[in-house]
Amino acid sequence: MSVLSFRLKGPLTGRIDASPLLPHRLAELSLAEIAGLPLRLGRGHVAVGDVFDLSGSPGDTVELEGDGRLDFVGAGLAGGTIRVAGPVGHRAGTGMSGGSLLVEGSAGLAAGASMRGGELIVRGDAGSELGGALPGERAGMTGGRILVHGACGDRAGARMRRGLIAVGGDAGAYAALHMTAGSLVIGGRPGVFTGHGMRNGTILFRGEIDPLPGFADCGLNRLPFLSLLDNHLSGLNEAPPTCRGLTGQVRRWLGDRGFGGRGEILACL
Amino acid sequence: MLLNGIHIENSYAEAFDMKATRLIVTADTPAWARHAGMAATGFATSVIACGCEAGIERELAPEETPDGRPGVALLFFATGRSVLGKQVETRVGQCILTCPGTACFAGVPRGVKEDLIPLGRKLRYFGDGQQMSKLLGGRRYWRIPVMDGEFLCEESSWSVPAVGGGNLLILADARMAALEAAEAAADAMRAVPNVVLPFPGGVVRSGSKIGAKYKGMPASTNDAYCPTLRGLPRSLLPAEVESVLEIVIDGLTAADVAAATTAGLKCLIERGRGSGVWGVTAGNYGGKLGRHHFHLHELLP
Repeated sequence: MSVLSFRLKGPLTGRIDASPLLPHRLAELSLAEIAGLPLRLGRGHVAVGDVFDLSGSPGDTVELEGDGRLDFVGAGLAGGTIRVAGPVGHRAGTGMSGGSLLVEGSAGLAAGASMRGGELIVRGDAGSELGGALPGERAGMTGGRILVHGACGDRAGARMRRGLIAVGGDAGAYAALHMTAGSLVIGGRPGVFTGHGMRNGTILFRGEIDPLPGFADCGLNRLPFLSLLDNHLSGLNEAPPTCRGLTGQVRRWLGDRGFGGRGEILACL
Repeated sequence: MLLNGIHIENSYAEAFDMKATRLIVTADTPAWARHAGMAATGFATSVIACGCEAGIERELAPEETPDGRPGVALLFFATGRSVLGKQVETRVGQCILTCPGTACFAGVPRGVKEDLIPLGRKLRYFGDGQQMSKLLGGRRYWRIPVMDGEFLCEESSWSVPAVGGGNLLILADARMAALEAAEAAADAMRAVPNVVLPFPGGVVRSGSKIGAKYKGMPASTNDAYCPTLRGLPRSLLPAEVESVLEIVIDGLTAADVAAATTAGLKCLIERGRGSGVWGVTAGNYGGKLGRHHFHLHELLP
């Protein structure tokens, strides 16, 4: 396995669009060619070599030194692995269709938005619009999985259509806003207006909740599917520990009926 | 050949290519998983009139099943993929969906589209719009609301190539001796993985030959092995044999059927002539119909 490492030369002077640094796009290039690639920095461009020290050899893995001003890290990733030591900026892993993006720090806004496949792991916190829809897109995440160890911001899983998001900490307001399908597992506490406008799909967490008036209380249930989901999460290396063990008796709320929805909020006892 | 006093005829079982699938059915208790399994594999002794041959392969401990509950593994065999699909669909719909607390999963690796056996893919419509699907690890599951909670069912299973119609004929001095020998052999053969013995208790008494004197009868009694016809020229039974029982074996591969045949032979030979068994032979149709031939002399333990 060949690893290509990017180490920051110094503090960044502006926000960088790091989306060209994808393993499958760099695999065929030499280090000198990669160093000459342009990166958007604010309104202008810089060469990769001006910002990063490169080492290793291009292949299926890219290691990146993290910075909160590196945006679009892993955006459009279709295969291979990107490991980021530290935080990333906004829109990390947007539109991913395969491969694995591991962020050891926190992620900014819209991480994994409009993702279609692959795996996004954030060991820190994630900002708003996690797995949401990119501006102009009708659907949010349509496949793959997002595992966040920390908390996430507002509107996680907005317009989500398929896939799995597991957030280890608390979720912000409007989680699963207008969700069409898919699963959002919250290891901590959900925020206000959870499930607003959801049509289908599942929001699962621990503890009671007083949901929006559009949700019908279907009482306590035992769902065999939850053990299946828990087994699935157990099989993943980076599943947040707080998202595990959400089985047994759950209170099921069906909605958002104000939008003709039949999604579910499952509050695990 | 005489082993431990038992005649092992130089004959072979003739078996056929079939299509099979395995389902994993789980429930809240082993007993309810068994109820579902028994019903779903009932009336499935022979493809001649049942549409498929089926049986409970074995019981599964909670740690062996996808949802961590006790279960059973069921094997279904039919002559082709489409008839297998139809049989599995109606049997799961009427016998597993209906059984309290059950869930149903594919028990074979994911196959290609052409081999698809629909499960929840069709049964989901029972949910009348209230069904939900979940895609986990590349496999789709349907959750269908039912009166005791939810029926969880994988979207589809897949058919795999299989071998059906392996057999052993047990020739004994008396009916009870044949029955006890067949019971013991069937128990030994059921311990072999990937096989089922589709007949009641694994044993069949009405072995058949192809054709009949009557029009429209595809099969009729195997008169050469009927003890009441021992005096006729076409009888193949020696004078001392008073009862014959057959064990039919369906397996996922020819090696599985062979292993079950060996296990059955081993059991019968170990019990010896003292058990009242005169000999063992196998049924075939002259070798022209089935591709798989299981020669008893080659499969001795």
